Amino acid sequence: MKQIVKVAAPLIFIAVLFYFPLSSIFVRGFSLESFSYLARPSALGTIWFTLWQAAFSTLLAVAVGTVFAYLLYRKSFAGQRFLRSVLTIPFVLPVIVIAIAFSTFQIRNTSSNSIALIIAAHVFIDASITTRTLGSAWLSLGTELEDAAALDGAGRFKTFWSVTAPTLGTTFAAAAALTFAYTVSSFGVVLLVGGGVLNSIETSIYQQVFTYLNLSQATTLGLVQICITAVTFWVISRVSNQHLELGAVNQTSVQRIDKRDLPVVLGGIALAVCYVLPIWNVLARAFSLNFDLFGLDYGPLLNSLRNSLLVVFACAGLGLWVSHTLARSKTTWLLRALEFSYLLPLGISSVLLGLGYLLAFSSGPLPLRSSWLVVPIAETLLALPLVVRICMSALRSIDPELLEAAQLDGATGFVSFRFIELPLTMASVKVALGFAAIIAVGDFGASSFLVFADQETVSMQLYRLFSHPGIENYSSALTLSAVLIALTVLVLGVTSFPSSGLRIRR
Amino acid sequence: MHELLKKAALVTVAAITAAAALTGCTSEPKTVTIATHDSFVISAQQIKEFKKQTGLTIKVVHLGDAGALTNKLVLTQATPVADAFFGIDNTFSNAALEGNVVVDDSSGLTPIDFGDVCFNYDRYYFEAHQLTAPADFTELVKPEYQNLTVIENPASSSTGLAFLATTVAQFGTGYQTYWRQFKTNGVKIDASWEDAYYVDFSGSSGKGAYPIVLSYSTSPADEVRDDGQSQTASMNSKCFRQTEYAGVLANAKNPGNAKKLVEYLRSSSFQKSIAESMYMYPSALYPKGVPASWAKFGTSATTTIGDKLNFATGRQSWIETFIKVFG
Repeated sequence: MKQIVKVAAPLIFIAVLFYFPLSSIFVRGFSLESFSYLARPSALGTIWFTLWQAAFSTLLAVAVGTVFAYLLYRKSFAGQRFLRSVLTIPFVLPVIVIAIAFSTFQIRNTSSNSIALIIAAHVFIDASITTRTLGSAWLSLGTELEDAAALDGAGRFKTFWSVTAPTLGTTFAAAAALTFAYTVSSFGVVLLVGGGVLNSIETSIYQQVFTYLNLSQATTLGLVQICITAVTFWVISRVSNQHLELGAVNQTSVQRIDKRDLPVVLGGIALAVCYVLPIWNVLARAFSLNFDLFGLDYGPLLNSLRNSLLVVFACAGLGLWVSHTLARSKTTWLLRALEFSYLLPLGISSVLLGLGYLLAFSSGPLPLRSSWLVVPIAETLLALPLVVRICMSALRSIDPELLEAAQLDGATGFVSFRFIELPLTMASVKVALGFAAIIAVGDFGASSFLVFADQETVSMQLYRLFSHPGIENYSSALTLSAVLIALTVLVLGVTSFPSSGLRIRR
Repeated sequence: MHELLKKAALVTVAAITAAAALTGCTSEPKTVTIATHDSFVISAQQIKEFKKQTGLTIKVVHLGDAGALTNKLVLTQATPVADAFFGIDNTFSNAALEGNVVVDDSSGLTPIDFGDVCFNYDRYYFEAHQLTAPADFTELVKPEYQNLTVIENPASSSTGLAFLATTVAQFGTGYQTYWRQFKTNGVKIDASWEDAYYVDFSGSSGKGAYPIVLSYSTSPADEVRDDGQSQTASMNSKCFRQTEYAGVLANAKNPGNAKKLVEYLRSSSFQKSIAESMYMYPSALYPKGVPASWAKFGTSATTTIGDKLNFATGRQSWIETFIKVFG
């Protein structure tokens, strides 16, 4: 009985707050009329742009990530750790700040320039992920083969192409597929840099809802997005049996950097300059314009921080509950259902969840939309799958004999959780909750569908200031961006977040 | 015992009545919330004045531009975020009516102000080149005006959309032909009014390269030079008239309070401030209630076109046609 409650409660939770809103997208979007809309050139153009920009961004991000991963994880040199944490900034910074940073390079009214900037911004974000993924995999690789190739006189590039790349092949494929899935659902960058003229599927959904009030077309586009995500994740599962995991990176097989690395180093420096430039541009412009820290409205920032605090608490409670249930119970069909239902939402974009919430909770039996809690709840649902995934694999990696021994000594379930399992998995739990906080603070998609009044989040405030005319709004947007960059650097400096890496484990 | 029960019943009834009376008091709140677009301005002075008259404090909720405002009000129709609204204009009023956003009586869509979207031209340029200014937008495709005009993209700008609608009203299904001619004649498309007016237009501070710009009938009043004349002039025929409404939201918690606020927006003390604060003509006062410079250089359009179009059904296909021509 107790077991059933333990499983049923989180099942009901996710059914009501995730699958019900998701199904309302299906119900509204599944009509012949709206499918005929997809055949229109404008819709096809949008879908095509979404796909090719994501593919191209992914390609570049993997290339850049390879150079960075080689330098930052395969080699060793002074200041390496610092550079690794610098590379975390694009990952932690709210995406709308990155969009603003890249739009400072915008030449007015040229859509080709916008396309280039969108792709550049995506590479900026994605490369920080591919670097970690590839770097961690590279670390776990021995150096013997590469050394042998080097002894045979192979240069660095030859060694990479003929020895390293084939060995890391699946890692490359998995990292690329994951980056693609992430970039296909990019919202903030395309909305802000594209300015409503250049659209991806996600921004089209937003436009259909808020410009044209065409919910059936919005939901149909939502279905297309879901299909693309589903196919991408299917590919991920096919290319490898690997799954994403987070944990401390163990540095074993690194070598000092030497003369033969010169081309890579030069390339790395050039790329690093490209990385610093957008951030630098924001700071420089913010200071050159009216830099008025006290004239800013910090209410939205406080809203965002409050929301993310709630999300972290909710994820800690629910995430540990669900992952503990999954890791420690005998596998039954109910348990399988629970695992599946909590891992599936991983691929659902924030925009789609926002749209689903808007459709499902605006009226009817659960008019959640009118409460301010709707944003932290939606953000919790965005973060929870990742938290469950990370905590679950950490809990599963604990030696079962340890727990059996504790049980024999009379430890109750709670005591063994509190004094054995939690301390052993604390590092992973912290990382998971760090991710939850990042997702909540940076969320722009879900909140822009759900916040209509004074509960504005900081990302929405930035978008509003940026898209409004007038130099005052523009300088406020830049100043606020500078504040967020400073806060991010501060948080990264205080926490040890950078020392743990995203890695793929067999 | 019987007596005791009776007493208890009495006390209970009294308590319930008192509670009901109390909640009755609190259900008539002292604030009234108005949902508006981002250009709405109300001064602290006016908020104070309204409070003095009615005892109500105004709370303003900004919901984006006129389109976002309307659509968000439609989407939250069942549980509205405010009591009253301001800023749904005649390009979105169809959507608001179809979405049952407004109450269905005289207080539904009350006109508060209006503005005319017209082309402006740089008089200095036309004098220097001894060129006659075009009378209205239909002449802009003529060869003598090649590469002279800058407009806003209807996909991202409300003035751009207003003009696109004007061409639909003028040419019917043939509006595509006009746009092809206009493209061949070298029209420049900017994303926003700010870009077009302040950067590319030659008659404003940006001193750009284009002497004709899509703007408002009031814009020349801001370009008065040392000689007391405006550098620019507005082509005042076949303009698009944009009327902005206020009203009580359907399902508002306090329609009575909302009605008081809508009435205040029509009062002369608010109407007088509209020209200065929102650059629109006050509906209840015009031609009075505007600055002297407007009376001279910023009069409203002589003829307007396109008021009867249904934007709710047409908007998306017009914009897509536009993108197809220029894409």
